[in-house]
Amino acid sequence: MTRKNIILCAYTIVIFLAIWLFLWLQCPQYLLYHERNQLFLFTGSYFLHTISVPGGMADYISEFVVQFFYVPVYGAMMAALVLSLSQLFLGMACRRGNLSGSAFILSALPSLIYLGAMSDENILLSYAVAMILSSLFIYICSLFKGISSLVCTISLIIGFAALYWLAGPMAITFVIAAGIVCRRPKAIAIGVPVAFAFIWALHSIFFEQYPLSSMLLGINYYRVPEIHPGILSVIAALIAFFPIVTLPKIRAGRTATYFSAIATAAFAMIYVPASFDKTKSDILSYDSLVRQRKWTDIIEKAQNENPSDVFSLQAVNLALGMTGQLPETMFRYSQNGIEGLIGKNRLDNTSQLISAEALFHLGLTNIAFSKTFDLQESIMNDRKSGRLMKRMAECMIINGNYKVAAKYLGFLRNSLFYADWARKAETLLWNDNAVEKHPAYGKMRRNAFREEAFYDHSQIDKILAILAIDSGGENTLAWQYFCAASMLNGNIATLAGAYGSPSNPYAGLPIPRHVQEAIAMYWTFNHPTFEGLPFHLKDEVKQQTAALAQAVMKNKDNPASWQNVAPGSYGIYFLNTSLTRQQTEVANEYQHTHE
Amino acid sequence: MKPYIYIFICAILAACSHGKPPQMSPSTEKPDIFPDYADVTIPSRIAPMNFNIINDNAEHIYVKVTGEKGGELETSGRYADFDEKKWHDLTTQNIGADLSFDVSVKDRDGKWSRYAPFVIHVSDIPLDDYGVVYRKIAPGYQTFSKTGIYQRDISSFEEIPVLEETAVEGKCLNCHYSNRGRNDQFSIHVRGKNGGTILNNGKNLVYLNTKAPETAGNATYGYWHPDGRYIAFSVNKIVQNFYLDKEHNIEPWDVVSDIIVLDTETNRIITSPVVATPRCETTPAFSPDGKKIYFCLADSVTMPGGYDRLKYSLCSIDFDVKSETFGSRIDTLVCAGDLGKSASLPRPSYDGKYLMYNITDYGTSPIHHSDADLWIMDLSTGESRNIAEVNSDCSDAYHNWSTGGGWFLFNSKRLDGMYGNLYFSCIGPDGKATKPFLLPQKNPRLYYDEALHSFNAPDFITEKIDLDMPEVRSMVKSGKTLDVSVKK
Repeated sequence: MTRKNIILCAYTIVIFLAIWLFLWLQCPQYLLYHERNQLFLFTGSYFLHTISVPGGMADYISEFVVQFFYVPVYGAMMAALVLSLSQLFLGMACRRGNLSGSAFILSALPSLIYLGAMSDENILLSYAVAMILSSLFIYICSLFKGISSLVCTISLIIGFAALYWLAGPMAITFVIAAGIVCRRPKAIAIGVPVAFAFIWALHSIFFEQYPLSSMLLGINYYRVPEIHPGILSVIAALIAFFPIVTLPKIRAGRTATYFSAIATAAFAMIYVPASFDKTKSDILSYDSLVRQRKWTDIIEKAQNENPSDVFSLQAVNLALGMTGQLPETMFRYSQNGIEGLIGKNRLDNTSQLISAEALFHLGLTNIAFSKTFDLQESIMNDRKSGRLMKRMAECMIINGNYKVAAKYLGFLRNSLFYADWARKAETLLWNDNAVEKHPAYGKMRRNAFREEAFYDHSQIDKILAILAIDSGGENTLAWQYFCAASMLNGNIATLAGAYGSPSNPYAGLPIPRHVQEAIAMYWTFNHPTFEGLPFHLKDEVKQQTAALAQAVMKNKDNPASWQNVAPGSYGIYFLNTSLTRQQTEVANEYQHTHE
Repeated sequence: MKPYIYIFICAILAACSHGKPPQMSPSTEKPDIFPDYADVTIPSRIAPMNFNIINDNAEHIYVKVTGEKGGELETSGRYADFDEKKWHDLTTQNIGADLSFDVSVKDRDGKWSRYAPFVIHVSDIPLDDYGVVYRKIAPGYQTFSKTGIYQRDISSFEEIPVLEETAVEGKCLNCHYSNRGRNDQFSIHVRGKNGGTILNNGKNLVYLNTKAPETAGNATYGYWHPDGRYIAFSVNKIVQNFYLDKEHNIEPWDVVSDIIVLDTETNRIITSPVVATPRCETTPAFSPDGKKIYFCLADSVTMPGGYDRLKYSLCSIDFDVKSETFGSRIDTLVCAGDLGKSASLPRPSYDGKYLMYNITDYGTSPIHHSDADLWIMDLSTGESRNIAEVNSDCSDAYHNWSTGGGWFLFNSKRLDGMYGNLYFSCIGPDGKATKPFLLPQKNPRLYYDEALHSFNAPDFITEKIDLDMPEVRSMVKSGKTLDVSVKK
């Protein structure tokens, strides 16, 4: 190996390491998002189904790689390998000409732009695999020097047809780039129209069920059908015309190489991190933490920065509930009504994830199943999900619907990362005794909702109360959620009544901090002192509540002045939401009278 | 070539070659096969009835089929996979007779077992339709990743898409209704943005907005008049509720539902105050002579609280094509109050002998009720009975008749309680239905284990449907629909 080749290899290794570390340390949540939107199966029918469309082989390889995103360190490594190989092949294809050193360095640009484009979580790795395949074909063409225009044209057309099937419309970049590399403009002039004619014919004969635009822009480069972000076209154009850098006949010195290296590094360091949106990253991050059941990490994250959206708030509340702190500490975080606990139906592949998790842990397995089913069906490119199918199988095992559970487990058994779990879960099928003894499923089965009734989001506090009380005190999460829902809805009388009821199995437990605050506040509405209060509340809570009441009475028109009297308490939440409600009502009345 | 290579090749061949089982007497036990095809009755044109052995220890299967009227067929492999041409030769030769299946199974230890033969009867009632059409859809709740309407030649395993969701920008496709299985008179609803009803009226393809200002909603459940000009539709506004308890799943119900008739030549809607009332009228079907519309009718109850009191009666009303008017009187054929049950989806046989419908404990959506059973009414006597010989513990619904009469298909969730599959049966000369059989597949176990869809709203078709895809795509993409008007 020559010294030059060693340097070039080292460059590719640097690119690989940089991408690996970036994806692993900065974007594991994006990797997990991709992984949960597919389920790669080691079956013949999965292979045949996947490769049955143009670009299907790129999809298959991509989905094979994405399954490793389940473990972000390996997944990041695999993704980095894909992107660095793409750079390597493109760089090697452009080593003809005087600017070979600079060209090799700049050949990282398409991969780096793709890395930045990964901030759009719906851009699929299929596109990166298509980049490799196209670059590989360009490189292979570059090995044949001095071929005639005719041979070049025929090679490009045959190569295009094969590559179109393997990688999809990215194959057009091969026709242009390989023509440039071979210095055969006539081959490009003939090859490109033939390529488009080939796609048109293929569409008319075999793929009428897809729009022509999908055949031209890629069926599965983007998760949402018929959307093709402009950045993907930029990458394709860059690959197609990149070999132009090898055409100038000027002799380039080391300066050009150094300049290319500095420009590439600067581009990577500025463009790539800037592409990633913080809010989206946070949402995906909360989801990945919930998935991994890292409850304390979620709480720590929320302590560092208050969750700014409902999805993240649901994750924080679930984490608080799972660690038994929900009615103790929830108002330290900005709450957002019932939506912050369990969301209303939204039909996409993410919004309901945390709600579905919460419903599952609460023991409402039927509703958790329906939401999980819908989440899986909302994956726009018709893929299934290992994570969601696992949850669906769990719900079916708990419900005793073993035939459906067996069907899902049959799929998971053919995957890499869910197979062990599926084999263990299969031992529970048609074995009620084993399910009942299972530490999690047994409890959920025992505490299942028994009455024949419909789920009604507006009645969630009542559903939670029934769930909690019918479990005889075992379903503490449901009780915490009931307390939280009652407080968020302002149903303090119901909550106080429940704590005062002798038949309530949770009545004997210490009253959580926020529930004390709620009861104290409710009491102060009708009583001048806390004398005669039938609950034992902490003195600190009483003092804080009294101070808050005084502050409100003193500065009725200045809500800002109350905020620091009892920060992070239920009283502040209640007063702020009441104030908002009143303002809305006033606004509404104003609107009515002026219409 | 070196000798050890020969030995290696021979060893490989020996390992792969299972051959026929040794001569041995059959046991008294019948083989446990999937699908359960033992003692079913099939039309001679049906695709090969391939099956799998339900035994994890089974490594190889050998099957010899012998026709009562002659002919033999053999197959061996991991599952019974019959040659299509030889299969049809055998079934054609044995119309009205039995096929006997002699099954031998080799286990992983190399031990052969021969089972007692089972029988499939080849009916002499012909099934001349080209095949079946159905919508493949996940049995989901509110979203569906990929739906599509497909047609399947019943004499082979070939399934061809009629219209897939990918072709119309991810729109939800609803049921396909055709006039007695014709491929040139049908309707398909497309829901969502730019939604409408694709209607082929035998002359041209149009895209209709079936909601008129005077009607309660879009056309939903449809049935063609035999003359091919009119379609009876119910206009429904459907909502769904989800159960909290594990015994139940979904309860769809109609906020509003009325009956209309669409004139496909003038795009006018014919209504009547008799079938557009505050009560719920739904799932209409023309009688074979076109003079009557069967439909289901329920008194309104307060919903969702009164969901289990929502009981539909099976009714009929006259319809006069010449004057384009409904009759003034509703006849009740099956009274919900008498049965304490709810009827839905009436489907008369095209020869006018029978009326098949669903019975559930309550409600209007039998596919979501495990208690949903098929019932049949003898139209000459008006007597109804539960077709117990085809019903299961799971939902049995979405039935319809072959165009030649005799055969019927239906959707049943009997395999797992969740995914609906397609079953066939026929009414024999004794008026009894034969044991239903599952739609054959090349490798049934693999197919049905891996299927994550239901066969929704299936029907027979007489010929292959060939949609003008560029036109359909253009219609849906533009969203330009023709408005319907109400006949005054």
